Amino acid sequence: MLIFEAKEQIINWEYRDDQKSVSGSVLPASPSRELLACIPENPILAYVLPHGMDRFTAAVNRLDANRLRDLEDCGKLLPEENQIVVEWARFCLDNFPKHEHYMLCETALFHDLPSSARFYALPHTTTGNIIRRYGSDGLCHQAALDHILGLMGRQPARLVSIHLSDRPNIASFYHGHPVETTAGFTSFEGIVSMHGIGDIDATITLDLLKKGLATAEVRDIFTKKSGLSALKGQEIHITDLLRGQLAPTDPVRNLFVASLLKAIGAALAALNGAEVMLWTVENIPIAIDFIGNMMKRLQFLGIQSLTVPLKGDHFWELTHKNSPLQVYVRQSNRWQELETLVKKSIS
Amino acid sequence: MKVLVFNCGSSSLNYKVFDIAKERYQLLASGKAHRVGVTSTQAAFLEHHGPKQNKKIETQLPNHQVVAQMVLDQLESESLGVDAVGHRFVHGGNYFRQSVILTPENKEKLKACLPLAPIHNPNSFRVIQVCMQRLPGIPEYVTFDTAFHATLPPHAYTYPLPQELIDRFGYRKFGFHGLSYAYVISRAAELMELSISSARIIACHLGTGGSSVLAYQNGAAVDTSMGFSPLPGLVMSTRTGDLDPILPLFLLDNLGCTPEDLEIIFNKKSGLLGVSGFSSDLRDLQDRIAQDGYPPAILAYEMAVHRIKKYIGAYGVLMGGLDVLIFTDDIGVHNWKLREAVCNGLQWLGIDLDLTANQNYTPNQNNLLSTPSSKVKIITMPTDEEWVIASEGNLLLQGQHADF
Repeated sequence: MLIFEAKEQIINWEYRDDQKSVSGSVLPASPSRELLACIPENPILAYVLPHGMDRFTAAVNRLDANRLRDLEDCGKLLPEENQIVVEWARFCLDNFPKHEHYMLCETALFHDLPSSARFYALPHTTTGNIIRRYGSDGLCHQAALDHILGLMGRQPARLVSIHLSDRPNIASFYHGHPVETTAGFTSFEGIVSMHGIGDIDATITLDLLKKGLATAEVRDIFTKKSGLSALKGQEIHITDLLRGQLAPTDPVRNLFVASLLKAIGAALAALNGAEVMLWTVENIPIAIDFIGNMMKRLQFLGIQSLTVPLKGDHFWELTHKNSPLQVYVRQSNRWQELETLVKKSIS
Repeated sequence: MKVLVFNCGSSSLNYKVFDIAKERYQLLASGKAHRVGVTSTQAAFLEHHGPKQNKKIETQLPNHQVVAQMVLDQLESESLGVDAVGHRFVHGGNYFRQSVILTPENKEKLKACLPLAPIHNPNSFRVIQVCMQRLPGIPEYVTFDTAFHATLPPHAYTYPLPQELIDRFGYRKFGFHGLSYAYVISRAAELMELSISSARIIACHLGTGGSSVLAYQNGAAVDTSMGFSPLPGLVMSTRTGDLDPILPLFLLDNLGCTPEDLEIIFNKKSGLLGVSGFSSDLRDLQDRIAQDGYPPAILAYEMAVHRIKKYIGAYGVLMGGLDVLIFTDDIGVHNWKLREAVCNGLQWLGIDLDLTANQNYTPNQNNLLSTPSSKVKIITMPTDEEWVIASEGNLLLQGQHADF
């Protein structure tokens, strides 16, 4: 299986079979020989679609000519989320028509959010039904749910799943069903990210437009030129924050911490408290101090932290068994998780 | 000194006349116009309580100028002259960080603030114009809701935009309902015998028009749900509250509307009205739900409750816990069903509402509504923005200004 996922302006890929895995990245405009050489050997090509809108409501979707229009709509309507992967999937569909193609959709998990969390307080007769909250990073949250299910043998009644990445988000699950999430119509709503704006007063958006900026310019500002990097005046990644490279008194760090704490509080409120809090990170040892500091801020909830975390294979327990809120950290194995999802769907 | 205070909400107008002598405030007259310019199944009316007469005038109240004229007529009919007039201005932008005497120069600055709060500031401005016409020579001054939030920490007031845009256009979180918060925070601290410098307080100002939530810690505002304008935050009567940053851009690109159209949709056609499709008044929604369970009314109500709960949870965690939860303004004080719905399921934060006390609250008084074992004291407290405006005016006219 060959899986593709866009990150900013490049496509990361990994080839996986029973014997090996090979990974790399490619500029959509100039596919590398190495990558193209891989493709003919493999019957399955899978792509991660950041935003399926109302067109893709399953986590794994067979992609063929019949779904192309849906896919193109997703790229056209939300270019900042989808454009690169849509163009790439189209390229692959055109060039490898005999292969099986699958679209993995990041928003599908949140398709049936409860109404009170799904809608904006807008007159939907005017704005249309497409305007709703779709969530984000559903594939990561699904992997988190699967992990907890494997660990506990059941879905906890109330789970807060925290995806700590360059564009972080949080989702609340009641018996495994999503009831709230920080990302909304797009993944740019909610927690401030490294380049994305997060929550902002819509009056500012309208003010910028009235001052003469085009919608494309404002999209560009909100999705690429804002966030913590813009405030700091230099490129910042989540690992910089997790490694403590911003001093505890740094206003930029404080803004991120406040944004994260508020999102955690809102997630807890949506669930009426939680039984399990699960952090997903790329690298546990790098993230653990930051998460430990966040846990100190949550001590008032009665969390009973372990002095030394219980370290498992890519999975650490941070609390005593009798803690009212169990806190875990898992290290994502993204490509394997995506492969598993596709295989499960096919079987 | 007799001070007339006008307090324009988006759909209401409160007024009071105080006689201030040696820091003692005697209320001489008061009143409120309800449902000003509102689409509602219930009638608009003006209530007036004067030294000589109490009145309830049911009539059409199309706008705030009309109401201001009616109020001045009432005061004239009772021979109640005034020495100064104070006005509430919701948004002072970057022009005003404290109250000011109305001068031609300040009036021009106020004009520049009108678009910052499009369903509030113009109402106040028009009332100012009525007063200048009807009460020539009487000093007028203006107080600002945004002043209370001037001490927000940088991480709370900063939008993560490119610095060049922040510098050029002055974008920051200003916060609103500051006069109300100034009153209830200080009164709650007195009432609960709390140290204002250490208490962690969440105040929910839930009005018939606008609503917001405040987080207050270490003697200062630490966050609030409204922002650069009163648009973001809670689901309000006609305002949408929080929105995805890309959503307005998507609507502009795909609906063929202008930013001005969207401003009207977001501020005047959304919120409870937009979702329910028939009323901007939470009480109408509750009546309709009880009457026939109309699904859009249920959805609008549940969205409003859900959003308030999320903000309380967010601010509770931000402050590392909570000592006092205050409900104020019309809906906050008088709507026990909403309070019950909001507090239900917030036990994890130490919030334990006494359901009986909540239902049997005494209107227009302070009520303690938490159970004895509740970690968080829950109180309802009628706000008194007019008192804050009057007291600010008293200081201002003596050449001082209040420091929130």
